[in-house]
Amino acid sequence: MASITVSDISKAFSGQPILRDVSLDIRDGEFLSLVGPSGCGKSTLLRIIAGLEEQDHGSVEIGGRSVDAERPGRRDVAMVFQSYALYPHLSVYDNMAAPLRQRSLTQFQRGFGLARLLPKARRKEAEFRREIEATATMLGISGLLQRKPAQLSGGQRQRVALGRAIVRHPKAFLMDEPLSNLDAKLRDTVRAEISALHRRLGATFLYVTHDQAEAMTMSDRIAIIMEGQVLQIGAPSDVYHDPADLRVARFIGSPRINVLAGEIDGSGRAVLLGRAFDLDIAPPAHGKVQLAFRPHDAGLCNADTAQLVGTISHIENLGSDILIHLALPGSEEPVIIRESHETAIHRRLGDSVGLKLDSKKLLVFDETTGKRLRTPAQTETAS
Amino acid sequence: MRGRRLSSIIASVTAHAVLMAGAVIMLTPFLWMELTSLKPPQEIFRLGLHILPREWGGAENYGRVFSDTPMLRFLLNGIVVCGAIVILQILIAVPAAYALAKIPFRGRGLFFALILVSLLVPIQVPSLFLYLGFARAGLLDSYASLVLPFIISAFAIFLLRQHFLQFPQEVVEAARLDKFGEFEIAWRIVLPSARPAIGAFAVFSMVAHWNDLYWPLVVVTDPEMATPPLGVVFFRNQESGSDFGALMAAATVISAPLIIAFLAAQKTFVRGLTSIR
Amino acid sequence: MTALSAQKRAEARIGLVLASPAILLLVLLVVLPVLATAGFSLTDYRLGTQTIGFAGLDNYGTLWNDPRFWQSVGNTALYTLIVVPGSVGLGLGAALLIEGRGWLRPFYRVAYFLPVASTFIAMAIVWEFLMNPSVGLFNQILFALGLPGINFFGNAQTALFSMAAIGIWELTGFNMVLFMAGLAAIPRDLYDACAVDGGESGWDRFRMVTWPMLGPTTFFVAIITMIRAVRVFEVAAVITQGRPEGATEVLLYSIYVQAFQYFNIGYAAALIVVFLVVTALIALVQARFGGGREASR
Repeated sequence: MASITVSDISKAFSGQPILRDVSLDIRDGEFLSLVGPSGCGKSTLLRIIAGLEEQDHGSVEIGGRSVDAERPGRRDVAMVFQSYALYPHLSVYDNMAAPLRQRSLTQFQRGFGLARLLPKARRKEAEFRREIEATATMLGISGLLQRKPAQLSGGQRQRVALGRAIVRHPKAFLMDEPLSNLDAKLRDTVRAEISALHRRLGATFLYVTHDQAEAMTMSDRIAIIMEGQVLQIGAPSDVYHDPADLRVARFIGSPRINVLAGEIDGSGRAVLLGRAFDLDIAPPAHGKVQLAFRPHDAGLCNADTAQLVGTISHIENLGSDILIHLALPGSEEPVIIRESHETAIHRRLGDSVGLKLDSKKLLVFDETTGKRLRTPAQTETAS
Repeated sequence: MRGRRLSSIIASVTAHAVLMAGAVIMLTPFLWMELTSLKPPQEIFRLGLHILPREWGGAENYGRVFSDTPMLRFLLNGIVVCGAIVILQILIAVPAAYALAKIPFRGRGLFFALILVSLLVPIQVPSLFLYLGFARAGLLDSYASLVLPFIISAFAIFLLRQHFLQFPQEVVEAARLDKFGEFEIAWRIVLPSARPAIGAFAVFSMVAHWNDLYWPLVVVTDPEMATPPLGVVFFRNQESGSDFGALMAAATVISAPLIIAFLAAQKTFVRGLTSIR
Repeated sequence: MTALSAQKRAEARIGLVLASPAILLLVLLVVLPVLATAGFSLTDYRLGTQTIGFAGLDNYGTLWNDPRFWQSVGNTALYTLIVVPGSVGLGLGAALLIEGRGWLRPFYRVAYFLPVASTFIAMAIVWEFLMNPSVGLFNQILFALGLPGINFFGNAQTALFSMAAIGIWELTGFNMVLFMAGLAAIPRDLYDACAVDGGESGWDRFRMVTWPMLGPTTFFVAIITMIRAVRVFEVAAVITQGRPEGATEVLLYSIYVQAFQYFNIGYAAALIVVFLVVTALIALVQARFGGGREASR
């Protein structure tokens, strides 16, 4: 177990920058997710930490020691790949034994099938067997040890890949989209299992995914990466409720956050879709802004009393809740509002309803930089 | 519904009739070879159509094959020559293909271009120059002259390179993290996965060289050094087309190894022989 | 970082070491002989003579004016024009008929493929016997039916066709297996879609799905067969020696006779160059239109 520190990492592929000055601190025993759209550089960062890719500059420390000059095998991190990357010609048992043998047996001992003859190697093999069997039992694959990877289902291969990482007790687990090749139902199960595994092992997990829901449900902290930069690091609830950047706000959360273009005039009032509102957000600046709010942070009201009126264009019934899509004149995308079953039950397509905003929950972003402009009240709660 | 069923039965019967007729044509040479090799000469030369042997001539025919020709020597030559070719081809092709697929080195592109061009060159093209070379070196009528021209197979290198290229890079990376060295990755992880491809190539090459007549005809005049195809040609010329029973027996003996191997391992054979895809 | 770069340089050296035996042998056994042969074709070199003189394109001029050469080219072309459509067509037909023929399918597959797995020259000698004018099976059948016999290899009108028949027999099963693999790769959904769109008969299915989907396979099979057909040699060399009247004289046999019986090195080298150009042209057609599949040696 160890902490991982990444400082000022940059990387370009054939002139195309993939990572720009990325710095990250992963604490010992922490579950940290790197999340972002595909091509944002999150996998490259993971591969640089593993030593599979060489950074252009910057440095990586694992357990307080620089590993920049070390080959992947010497960094003592385990990786679970998207394709699982099991050795196709080896049985499940031998797949799990491979990292142990590579680490503990000499070239001579493992070279010529001598492991069974040499007493020292035999003792070690017995240790490996105990370790592998214990791990296999924990993962529920002890019945599969003699099978070849080709004879396993996707979920079983996934568990073997985890097992191969676990048996060697690495300093950290690096996982590169390990769930993306599983079907939706299995993904939920394994998600819970990986979380449980993390609690049980107490090891450092660095987890790469493009699925924000996966990151939200599993992690201690989330690092959102876009266009080669870390936009925000924080606990799931922080990045959800208190995003530092409009891109983070848009990326995290499902259904997506609502964003309306607006302006803050000289008197501190917000102008939305051409109408002035009495919203008490006391903005830190004037000029063009983007105002964002989560579907559950606004409500619907009677059209007569509302300042902002739209038409219901679509109703999505999620069972527990209902999502109302509201088409607002002057806004391209509909606004999505989450309502409870009881209130939403009489809504009909085409109804004219009013939109009720809560100024405390409105998130204000600079129009050009996309950076968050915190209102005084929000600054207070954030600190 | 009934009309449809009837017409499908008619289609099925027709298909089987056509296929069966084709199969008879395909198998006739084999059957006739066997049957004739079991007939005494007077029966072969008797006019009129008769299929099964009435008298037993097998012992005499097969006996003549082994007494009049060094047939066992032909077979041994065939095994030695084909075995040596296939083993050397693989030993040379595997490292070259691995380097082409997985290790960037200076001149790799040129090397691969050379491989692609060599795929277009059949043995008959270099044969003239190689013959002159072996003649000058006094190596005609030797295993060396039968084996050496074939030990480099551009096809094997091409085929294996494709295979190594398709080997998932993530598995190689997993091995690096598991502390395998680069040499161990090649030898213990990537190479075992190529075993089926190497096996398919070995079958392909074995059949091709067991069958080759052109090159043995060029470099071998001594019957002691003849491969099975050349041996049966020598025997045919020696008999000058009179003793068909013995000739068919000889044809049976030199065809037998491949046919038995094919019947025993059909899947491997078909995959190997069609691996040019 | 520098440690990793040094590692990469070391790996590159290993790559060269691994490839070097192959590179060396390729140069020695392919590149050098090909270049030398091209060089010989510009000389009057004959084995046994003391001097080698530069002859320019004289050998090619002699070729051009030699009716035997043109007969040899013509025979090879005619042989190819019979064997390619014959064995490709029959191979395709057999593959289509065998598809879904239940329990006899393995038998048919073995029967049709057996010629491919046999020793060809032995079977050619069997064919010669089958086609023997007096005691051969075919003529015995014809006699039994009261028909006149055919002197298959003795008659200039039938000799090349007899040779082509053996060629078709040899290659049909091979092509059939390639077509079977092509058929297996056609997604079942397409047949369902065809049925839904009103394709009722087997012919409709063939016309709308099978044939278009087999296009690349057919092209590939035709090229492979063509490369094999222009290399026809064994029957001409062993059974007919180009006779009667040069009716079975084919390109490779001409090369063999000129090079290794008359030791006309310069002239034979010119023939080899022509042969190489022909095979290379076929392969280039494949590379250009065949989507990158490679021919074999």
